[in-house]
This record gives sequence, structure tokens and C-alpha cells, in this order.
Amino acid sequence: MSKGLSRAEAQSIALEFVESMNYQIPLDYKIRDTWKQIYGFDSVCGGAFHSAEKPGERGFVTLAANNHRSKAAVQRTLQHEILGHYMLYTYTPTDKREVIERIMASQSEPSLVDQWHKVKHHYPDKPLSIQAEELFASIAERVDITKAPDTNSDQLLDGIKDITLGSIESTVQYRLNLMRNGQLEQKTFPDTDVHSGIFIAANLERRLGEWRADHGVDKAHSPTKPLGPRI
Amino acid sequence: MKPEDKTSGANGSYSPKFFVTQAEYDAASPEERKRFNYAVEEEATLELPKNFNMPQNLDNNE
Repeated sequence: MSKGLSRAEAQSIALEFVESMNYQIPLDYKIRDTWKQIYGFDSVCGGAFHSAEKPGERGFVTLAANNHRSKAAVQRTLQHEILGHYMLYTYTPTDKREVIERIMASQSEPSLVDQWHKVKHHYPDKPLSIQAEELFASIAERVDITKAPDTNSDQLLDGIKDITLGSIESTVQYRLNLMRNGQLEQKTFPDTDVHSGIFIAANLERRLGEWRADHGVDKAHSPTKPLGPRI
Repeated sequence: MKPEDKTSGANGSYSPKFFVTQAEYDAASPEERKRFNYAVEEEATLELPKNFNMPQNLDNNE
């Protein structure tokens, strides 16, 4: 078994990635030899994306160098964390929710069967929305970033009926091109994320308001209570 | 030439910081410190980010 890379090697690869993105990704890097040096416990995970908590703050990416046996492996971790998770945070909270929901609805798509199988194998106990995000990130990690985008729109937002592996890949390439040109910035943060309790509660309140408006009822009534005549 | 550090990734370019220990900073040449824009950080372990999902059944990255 080949040994893992050193901190210095992983750092050089990370800087090459930064250069390939035209220095347009506002993230810092913390690279250590081992995961334990970063987080205090052992793991074979490659790295993690630490989001900024709010606008104006700076997020960062961690890398455990020894957990990578090749330059390509480091590149995949960087793409997973940055072109996957960070890129999803460049959507507004509402758009990210729509993207995640569309991916969640793609479980029977033939071109995504392998990806769904892998994600469910690696994240078996996670909610479907989390699995959908990890599916996006796992596809992002293998996108060829040297290739020009083959579309001039975001395929996941622009009304295409069914999500496919190709439409996710095209979206990543389209958005990374925007990223390289400095046209993307972080718009979603942990507290406004589709997976967060705060966002879910706010979204539920919004949908309840829409239900009340559609049914002409005031706040005293709930959808669970029948609207028949009082006895 | 590396771009100047600017605060907004959307409106300007950003030269990232690479966080290192004091020992790593001291051992690095001035060229390396500049190339990687080293910033010394206290060597305390981090908590996993709240948006991080720990995978199971993972092999070492090839």
C-alpha cells in the first residue's frame, strides 16, 4: 500500500487548484498530515469545508494529507468540498432548496443509479436531503475542470424536467466557470441552509401562511383541524 | 504575480491564507511564506463543521 502525501505536497496541490480557479474562491486552507491533528480523532476522511457563519466572514477547507495517496485524490477532495458543498452555498437558500429537492426526486434516474447506491452506502443514516447534497458533491469531485462548459445556463434551476448525471455535471461546469470569473459569492450560510432546523421551521411557517391564504382561514385554524361547522 | 488580498470573492480576487503552526512558519523560507500566504494559527483541534456529514464504510483515498 502506498503511503499518503505530506502536508507540503498537499499544500502545493491546493495552491494549484486555487490558481486554476483564478484566485476567485474566498476560502482559506488548513492542511495537516493527519485528520487527528486537525480534529483530535482518527479518520480516513480527506477533508472538510467549514462555511463562514455569515456574509463578510471567511470559510476554509481542511485537508488531511496522509489520507490521500495521490495528487488526483487531493484534487477530488478539493472538488468535493469546494465545487460540491461550497458551490451549493453560492445558491440562495431558496434556490439551494429547489436544487436539493430536484436531486432528491432523481433516485430512479438510470444515469444516477450508481451514484445513489454509493451515497446510500456511505451515508445510510442521513436524511434524503443530505444524501442528495452528498450526491451532488460526489459528482462535482470528478468533473473535468479543464473542460469548457457545454451549457450557458444552470441545468438544475432552468426547468429541465428530469435531473440526470449529465445535467448535474453540466451545472457544476457552468457554475465553476462563473466562479472563475468572480461571478459567484456565498449566499447560503449554515443557519439558512435547507438542512438547518431554522430554515425548515421558517419554510414550514411560510407554507402554512400560503395554505391559510389559499383556504381563506385565519391563524386560529390549522390544516390538521377540519373546517366543518361548529357543533 | 499573485493578486492582492481582497475582502470579496465576488468583486475581486482572493489570495487565500494557509494556516500553519508557529514551528512550520519558522521553518519555512521567506519565499514559501509569501507563496502560500502563511498565517500562524494556534494549534487547537477543530470541531467538525455543522454542515459536515461523516461518511461510513470509507476506504482510504487512492
